[in-house]
Amino acid sequence: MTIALSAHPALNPLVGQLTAALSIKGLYYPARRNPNTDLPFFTDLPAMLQATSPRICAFLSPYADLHNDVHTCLQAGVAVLCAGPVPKANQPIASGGVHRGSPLFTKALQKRRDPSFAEPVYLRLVAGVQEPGLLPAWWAACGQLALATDLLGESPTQVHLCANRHGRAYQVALTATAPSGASIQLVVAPQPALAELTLLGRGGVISSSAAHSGIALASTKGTQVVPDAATPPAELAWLRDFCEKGNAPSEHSGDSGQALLSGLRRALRTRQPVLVAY
Amino acid sequence: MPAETYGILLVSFSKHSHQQHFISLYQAHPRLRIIGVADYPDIDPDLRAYNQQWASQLGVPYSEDLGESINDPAINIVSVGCEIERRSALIVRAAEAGKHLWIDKFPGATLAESEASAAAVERTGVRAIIPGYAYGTLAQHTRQVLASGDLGTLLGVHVDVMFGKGWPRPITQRRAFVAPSGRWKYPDIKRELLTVGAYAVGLIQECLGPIRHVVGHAGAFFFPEHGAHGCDDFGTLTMTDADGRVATLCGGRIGTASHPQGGPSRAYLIGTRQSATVDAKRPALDAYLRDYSTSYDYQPDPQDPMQWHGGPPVPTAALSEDTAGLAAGLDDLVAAIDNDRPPRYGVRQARDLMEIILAGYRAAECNAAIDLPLEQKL
Repeated sequence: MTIALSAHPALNPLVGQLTAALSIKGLYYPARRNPNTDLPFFTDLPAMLQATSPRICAFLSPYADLHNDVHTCLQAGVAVLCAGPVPKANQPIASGGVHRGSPLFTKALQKRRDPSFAEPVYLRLVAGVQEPGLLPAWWAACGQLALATDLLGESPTQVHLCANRHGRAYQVALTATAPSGASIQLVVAPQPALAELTLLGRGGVISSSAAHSGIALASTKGTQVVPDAATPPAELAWLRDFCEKGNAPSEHSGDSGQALLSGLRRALRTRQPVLVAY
Repeated sequence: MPAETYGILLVSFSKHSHQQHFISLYQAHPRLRIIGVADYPDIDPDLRAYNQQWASQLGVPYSEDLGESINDPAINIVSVGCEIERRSALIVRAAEAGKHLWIDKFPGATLAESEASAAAVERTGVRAIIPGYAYGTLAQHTRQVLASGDLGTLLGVHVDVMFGKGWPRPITQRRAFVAPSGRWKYPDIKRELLTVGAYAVGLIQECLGPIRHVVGHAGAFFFPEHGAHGCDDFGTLTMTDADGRVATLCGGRIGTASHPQGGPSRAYLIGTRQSATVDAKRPALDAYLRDYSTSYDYQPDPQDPMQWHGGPPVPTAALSEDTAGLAAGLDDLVAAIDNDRPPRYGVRQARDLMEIILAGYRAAECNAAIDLPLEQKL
């Protein structure tokens, strides 16, 4: 099944991993000038669709006109899969849920369902964004909230959002209480390598840290931890799953994602916590 | 000329204070000498016996005439270890007698009491330290990272401090969460967002400017005792400072044998260029000893079910002998007295810390962001 991708240049390593495993025929990004990729690259979406005739177009990065490009794909009969919600979406598509392809999430969910873990009390996630800017920070916040919801097996109905920025470096903090009473704190930071998980239950703790999970390189200046390339990216299983089953349209393409985005803008403007119900 | 030796009066060994843990520090310090033990006259018999036992062990007199003890010219420093509700009055009294102060965590049970303590210290010019927050490994490592400039512009700080103590069990009764209103302790439990979360707030104070808005969550429970009282065994705060920087924290008691070092104590410092993960209990040594892993009875002592006075063995031991920073704090107090300057962390900061936590409790109770400053009556 032929696939076309849309991804920001910061995701080049990920695009390379996906291309090595799947039948990726083309890469599109509207504002990209000098792609460092062996894939046929396009800055014009109709041209890519015509040249590669994909069955699926997977959007891995958000940008302002994403909704128009999604519409163009659907009009051309190309199935659309989107890693996050679509700003100004006017029709439901399959989006979000990338974490379900992550081996870390799968293991954490197994442990969380172990009766010895008992009931969850607190979840802390600290995650980095893939690229600078408001929309990637929003996608990361939506992704973390979706992960939290899947891991806890329940969803808060409202969250407190705090956000600040310096240039295009954004930080988002999301705090909520799940219906069971479990507390949730999610942080989105500018550095993509950051990935921390702590889930506390009455029966114990489930935790993971990218700082302790990579490859340690020692040098005269100290020790640097780099991510391992052997673990397949979550996007690979996510894309494969869509190719095989075709995912149902996600709720994150609709109102909840939009509510978080407007809450995020309000938090940035007011520089204080804002309550977002969805 | 040899440097002056300062005499210390230990006021109370109440069970919720760390007074007993300070003694070895005082004894090891070349500039300090324990002169006596004192307490209020209306304390319960168990505390009186405990005070007397310590006085006997230290070979110093025990008195329940606080005025006479504090005014003893041999006393330079009062070590405040009484219950939180009695601290402010003692601090004011000692400061007005010209005595310097070593205060265990909180200078009052309310914002008004904490303000009275801060005002008395400022008015009299004595030196007063709250040693628990700014001197430990977490704060030292954090200052090191911030001073390096490697992070770029600091966007925020996120702190987790938890005690791996007590034995969590199903929550059989869940009363609605209630704010403390000045009551921090019950016979079987303490408010843990205050007790443990204070360490995280202290670190946030090191990193950010004055806090302006606070959100709190405290309705999740590990222990049925806390659920039955509607009191926090665990809580979270989210806050923004005057420049819009963001901090979050969690603090509480999460149960024994849930962490290799007795509970996480770490901070995530988020910068524009880099972020840092700081662990208060690293560097460390791992020692997985089979007898402890397979045979140790982790059930808490029935006389101390929340493990206020002990805890299980930890397989991973921090290399620092002073992760809490108490020895460093004591050095700072002595230097502050010698040089007539404030210590790094004093009563004014502790008063502000109490204000942040009180705002957090109020926010948790009403599920809304609370603006600071609060009114003093809280």
